[in-house]
Amino acid sequence: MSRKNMDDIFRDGLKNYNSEIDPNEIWAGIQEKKPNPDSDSKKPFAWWILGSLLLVITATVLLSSTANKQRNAIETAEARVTNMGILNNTTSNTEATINITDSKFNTANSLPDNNEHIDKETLNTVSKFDKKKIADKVSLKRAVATSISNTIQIEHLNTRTTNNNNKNNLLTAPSNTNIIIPSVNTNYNNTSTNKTIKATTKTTKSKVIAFEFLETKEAIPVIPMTVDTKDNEETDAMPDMRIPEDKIAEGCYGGPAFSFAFGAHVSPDLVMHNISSTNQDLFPYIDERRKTEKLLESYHVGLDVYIQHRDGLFLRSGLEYAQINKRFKFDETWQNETMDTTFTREKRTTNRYRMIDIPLTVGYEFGVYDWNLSLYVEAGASMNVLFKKKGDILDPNSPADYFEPISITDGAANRLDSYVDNVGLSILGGIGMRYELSDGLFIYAQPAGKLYLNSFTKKDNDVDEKFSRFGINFGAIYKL
Amino acid sequence: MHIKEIIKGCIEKDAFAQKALVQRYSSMLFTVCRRYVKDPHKAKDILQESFIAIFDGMNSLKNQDALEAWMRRIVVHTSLRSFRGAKNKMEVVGIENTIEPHKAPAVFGKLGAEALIKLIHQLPDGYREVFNLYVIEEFSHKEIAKTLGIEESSSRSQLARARKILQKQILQKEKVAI
Repeated sequence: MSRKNMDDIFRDGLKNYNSEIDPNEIWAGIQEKKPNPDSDSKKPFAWWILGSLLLVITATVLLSSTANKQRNAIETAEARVTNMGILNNTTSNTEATINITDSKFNTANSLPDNNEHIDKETLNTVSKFDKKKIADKVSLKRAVATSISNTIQIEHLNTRTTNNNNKNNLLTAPSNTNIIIPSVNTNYNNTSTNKTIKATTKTTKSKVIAFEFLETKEAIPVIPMTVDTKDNEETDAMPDMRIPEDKIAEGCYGGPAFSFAFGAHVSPDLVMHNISSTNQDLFPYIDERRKTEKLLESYHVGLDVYIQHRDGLFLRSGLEYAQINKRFKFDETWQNETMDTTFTREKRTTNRYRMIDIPLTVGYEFGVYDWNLSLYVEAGASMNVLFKKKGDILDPNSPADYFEPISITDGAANRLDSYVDNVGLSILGGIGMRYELSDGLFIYAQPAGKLYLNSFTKKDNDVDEKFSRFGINFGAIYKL
Repeated sequence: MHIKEIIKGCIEKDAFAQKALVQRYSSMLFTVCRRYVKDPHKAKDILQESFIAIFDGMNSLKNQDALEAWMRRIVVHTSLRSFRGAKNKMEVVGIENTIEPHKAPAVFGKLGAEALIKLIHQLPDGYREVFNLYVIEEFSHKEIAKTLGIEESSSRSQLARARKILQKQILQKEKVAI
């Protein structure tokens, strides 16, 4: 019998032979063996979604709660504005009273002669506003006016106080203080008139720092003046303290348009590690990789620098260090020829993937309310500049019936040199909530995710590996 | 259900399509498993694992007309991989010591597929792998060497030995038949 004949008989007899088997039994076995879709890679994602939802719901509840408080505050403010006449009839028992009148300094020609002096004083006030270093116990950070006609409606007052007695003050100012809002370039009825607000309170040692016109987003420093008046009488002796038009144009009296902030954050990460190949011969290898590798706890930390516009728009960059940990578990077997015995032992390695990224994101911060909470979103790109590896994985060049482990540690003598040194671009995004702990100091929580666009393996490698990670950034920001 | 619909469904992880694939190809692919694995229970396990790998990799199937060949290849690789742990090296076993006497009297040329599978099962693991890969899967020695991590010369010699064993078995059967 020739080889050819024998080979043909086996080939012809077996190649298209169908063995008897119950497909339903096979299907039932597959159902049992199929990885649970809720486990491993998808589970972290589900947790991340759940965490994000919880945070958003919490933020929504808190913000709607503060919105209700604002509505109350608006009603109070409007009521006070409506009762402007009270001022003249009231005594100093009024906790905080606002009087709004048309200014007598309503022409551009009436700039005072002592401009320089006023400028200096105003700048000092602005400076205090910017740095949020309000020395006294009670501070009013911002008041928002919706119109500048004959009546200014106070829509929103954001107050902070450490003095319980003054917690509910909408507007506080030193006793017998007149406050002038200088003219600004507004479009309100084409007017450019000055408005004078007079406020009186029993509270001393407190200062009104600035007002902001909602539509123009211009914050206007309010110059506190102590005038020698008694019983809240208006005086005609007030000097013109309008801010020169050119200074207004520069924005120096609205506070700087941009401010800088620095921050740091840390996040526990849930990581997805996707291993794939278009080479079907490598499917068993990939399958085996998935079986021998398990994701462990991972994290990243970052240092951030922010440039924030007073409208809420911000840019963030910085430096981020991330570490992804994986457990590699492998049953190592070897033959002892003398004893004619096969030994097996479990080999465990903790693989560490370290990377350094430079993020660049753009974000928008939504309003700050009287609980000092704000909500923000951000998205952007990140550039990976360094990728370090340490540990072991299965060798794709092993025989198909027995995959052997090989080191991936950078610099190791016999290592699998299939990974890149930097991964390139990734995209990231998140939604977060900030809370102002004290002037200029914020803490935040932000569910965020990052998706690396490129494979971590070299281009000529048949196996593609991609990471994506999701976590909740916990951080702090200090605004200068 | 048309095969293209089955493939599309499998790509979309549709359980109905996956089940249809299993029902359609289980018998054929089980034969592949059985050629490599003696134990029928183990062969079923391998078939199930192969189907899971097939489902996972379905979206990388470029030529749908080559589905059968593609699936066979996955089954072959999964079967070969199943030897992991059971052995670390290709076995080199003396011919005389490995052959069990064949009990069923039959003429080789008239042997059915089941009898052929039984004959293959009598080969040592390493020989059986090489024989299956070369004769049935029609791999070259170079491909076999790469797949099994052995030298090409080793593949050739193991194939020769496998043939010799089978030939001896066949001769025995013929004697019995006469």
